[in-house]
Amino acid sequence: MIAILYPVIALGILLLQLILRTHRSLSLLGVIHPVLSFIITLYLIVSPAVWNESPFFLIDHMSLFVMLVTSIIFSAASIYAVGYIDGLVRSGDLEKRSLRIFYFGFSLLLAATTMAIFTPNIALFWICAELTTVLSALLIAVLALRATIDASLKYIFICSTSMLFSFIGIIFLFEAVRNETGVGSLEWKEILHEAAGLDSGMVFIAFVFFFIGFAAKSGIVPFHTWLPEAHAKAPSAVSAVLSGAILNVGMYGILRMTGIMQGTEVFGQVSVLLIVFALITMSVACLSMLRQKKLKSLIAFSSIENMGFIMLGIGIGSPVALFWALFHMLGHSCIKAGLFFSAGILHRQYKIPTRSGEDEIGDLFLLQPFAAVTLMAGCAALIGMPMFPLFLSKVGILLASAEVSVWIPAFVLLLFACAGVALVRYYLSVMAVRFPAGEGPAPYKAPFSMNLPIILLLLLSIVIGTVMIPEEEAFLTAAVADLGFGVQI
Amino acid sequence: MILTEVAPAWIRICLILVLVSGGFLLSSRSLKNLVRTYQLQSFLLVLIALGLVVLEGHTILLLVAALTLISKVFGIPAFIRLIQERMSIQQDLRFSYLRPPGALMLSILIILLVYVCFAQILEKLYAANSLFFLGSVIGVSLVLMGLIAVCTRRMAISKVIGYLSMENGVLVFGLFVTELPFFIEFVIIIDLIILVLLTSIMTVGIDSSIEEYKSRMKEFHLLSEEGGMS
Repeated sequence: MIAILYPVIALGILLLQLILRTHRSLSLLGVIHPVLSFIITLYLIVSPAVWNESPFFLIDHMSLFVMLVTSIIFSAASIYAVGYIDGLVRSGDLEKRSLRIFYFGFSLLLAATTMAIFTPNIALFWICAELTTVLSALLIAVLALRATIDASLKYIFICSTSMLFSFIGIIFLFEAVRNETGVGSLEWKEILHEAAGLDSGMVFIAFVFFFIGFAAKSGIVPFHTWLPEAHAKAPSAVSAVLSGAILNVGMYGILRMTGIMQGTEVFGQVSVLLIVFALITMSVACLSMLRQKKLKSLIAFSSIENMGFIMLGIGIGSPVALFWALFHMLGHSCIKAGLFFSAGILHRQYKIPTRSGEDEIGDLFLLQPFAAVTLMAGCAALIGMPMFPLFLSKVGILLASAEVSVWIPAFVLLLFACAGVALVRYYLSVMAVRFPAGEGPAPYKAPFSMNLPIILLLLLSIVIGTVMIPEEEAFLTAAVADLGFGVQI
Repeated sequence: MILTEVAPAWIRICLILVLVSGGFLLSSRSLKNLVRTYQLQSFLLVLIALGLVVLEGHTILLLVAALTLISKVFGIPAFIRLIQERMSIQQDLRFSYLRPPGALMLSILIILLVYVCFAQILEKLYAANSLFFLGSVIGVSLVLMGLIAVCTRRMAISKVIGYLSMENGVLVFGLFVTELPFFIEFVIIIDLIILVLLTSIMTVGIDSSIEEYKSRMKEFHLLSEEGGMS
C-alpha cells in the first residue's frame, strides 16, 4: 500500500508547518511535500505490481498520469516560491505573518488535489475538488489586496455554485445505478461497469449537471469569467499551480464522466455537447486574447483556449483523440506554469500591478534577458511550434476531429491563428518599448530558485515534444483504456 | 400509524414552504430577514427529514436532521449575524440584472420549466406524484432560485446567503435518496462551513471599505497588531 504514503506525508508536512516558524523551514517543507509526491508517483508508475485493489485509492494509469502532471507542477511552483515569496516579503507586498497561511494552504491544496485524483468515490472526488476551490481562493487572496479578494470571491462564487449542480448530477447518477442494480453506488469503477444498463434520460441529466460544475472548474465558457481575474491577480507561483494543476482537476472529472457516458446510449448527445462547448470556449478565448494588454491576463485566456481544445479531444471521443488530449494536458501544464513563472519575474522587475494599472514593460532584453527568452520560448510553445509538445497534440486532435467534420479543424486552425497573432503581437509590442535614458527601473536579479523551475519545465517540454519516452505511448494508451474507451491507436 | 399517513402530506407542505422561503430570499431587502429566512428554510429541511424518518424508517435521516439543525439552523446563521454586526449594514438595496419582482417571475418560470423537463425525462421511472419526483423538482428549483439570488444580489454577504440556499436545494434533493451515505452529507456540511467562514471573512473586506478591512480582520483575530495574518 504505497499510496497510503501520500496522505501520511501530507499529514506530517502539515503538522511540521504548524510547529516550525522560520521562513526557511516553511519553504523547505513546501518543497519536500510535492517532491516526495512526485517520487511516489514515479515509483507507482514503474511498479504496476503494487497497484493492488484498495477500497481507499483508485490507482490506475489515468489517475497516476494526472498525479504525475500535478506533482511536477507543484514541485516546480514550490521551488519557484522559495525566491518569489521571499521577494514579496522583502518588498512588503506579503506580510511576514501570512507566510504560514501561504505554505500551509499550498500543502493543503496539494493534499486535496491528490485525494481528488485518487479517490475511488465520485462524491468524495466532488468534495476534494470543492476543497481545492476553497484553498485556491485562500491562496489567491493571500496578498490581502482588494483586487485579490475580489478575484478570490468571484472564483469561489462561480465555481462553488456551479459545483452544487455537479452534486445534483452525482445524486442522479447514484439513483440511476440504484434503479438498475437495486443498490446505489458512487464508485467510479462500479458505475463504469454498469454504464450500459443505466436509464438514458436519467444518465443524461446526470451528465449535464455534472458537466456544469466541472466545466466551471476548468474555465469552460460560459463559466469562465472567474479565471482571467483569478489567474492574473494571484501571486505567480499560485497562478502556475491554478493553471497547470487545478484546471486539470476539472478536466479529470469530465474525462472520467465521459468515459462512463461512452458505455451508454446517450454518448452521441454528450459528444455533441462537449464539442459545441469546446468550440465556443476556444472562440471566446482566442478572440479575447486579441484584446489583452496585460501579460498574465493574456496567459490566462490562453489557458481557457487550451482547456477548450482538450475538451474538443474528449468530445471527439475516439481513443486517438483522447490520447492526444491527455498529451496536450501534460504539455500545456508544463508550458503554462513556465510562462507564469517568467511573468512573475517581470512582475517583480516592473512592479506590476503598476499605479496606472497597465503593464509598463520596457527594455525587456536589457533588464531581464532570461525572462525575455523564456517568455519567447513559452509563447512559441503555446502557438504550437515544432519541438514543443503542443505541436504534436494539436496535429493529433485536429486530424482526429477531421473524421467528425472537416469544418472543425478548419475553424480551429483559424482560432489558433488568432491566438498566435495575439501572443506574437503582445511580445513584439513589449519588446519594442525603450525607456528614456536614466528613467528605467534598476535591474531586478531573480534568485536562482526562480530561474531553475523555468529551465526545468522548458527542457521537459522540449523532451516531451521531441522524444517519445520509453513506455510513454503504452502508458497513455492504457490511461485512455482506463477511462472506458477502446485501445486501438 | 397515524403519523405514517400524515407524513406524505406533511412533507409536501414543507416542500412548498421551502419554495416560498426561496421566494422571500429573492425579494427581501433586509439583511436580518435574509438570515432569518435562511434559518427557517433550514428548519423546514429538518422537518422534511423527520417526516421521511416516519415514512421510510431510515434512522440515518435523524442524524442528517440533527446535523442540519446544529449547523444550518443555529451555527451558520449565528456566524453570519456576527459578520453583519461588524459590517453595520442593515439593508441590501443593490441589485444587478433583475430587481425582486423580475427575479420572482423568473423563478416561477424556472419551477415550471424544471417540472416539465423532469416530468418528461423521469416519467418512465417515477410517478408524477412520487416524493422523489417532487423532491427533485423542488430541490433543483431551489438551487436555481438560489443561483438567481447569487447573480442578482450585489452585496457579497447576500450572495453567500444565496449560495447557502442553493446548498439547501441540493440537500432537499439528497434527502429523497436515502441510501446516499451519511458520511457524504457530513463532509458536505464541513465543506460548507469552511466555505462560509472563508467567504464571509473576505466579504467583510469587500462590503466595507478596504481601510476598515484590516482593522476588522484584527477584530476577528485574523490579523496581528503589526498587520500580518496570524
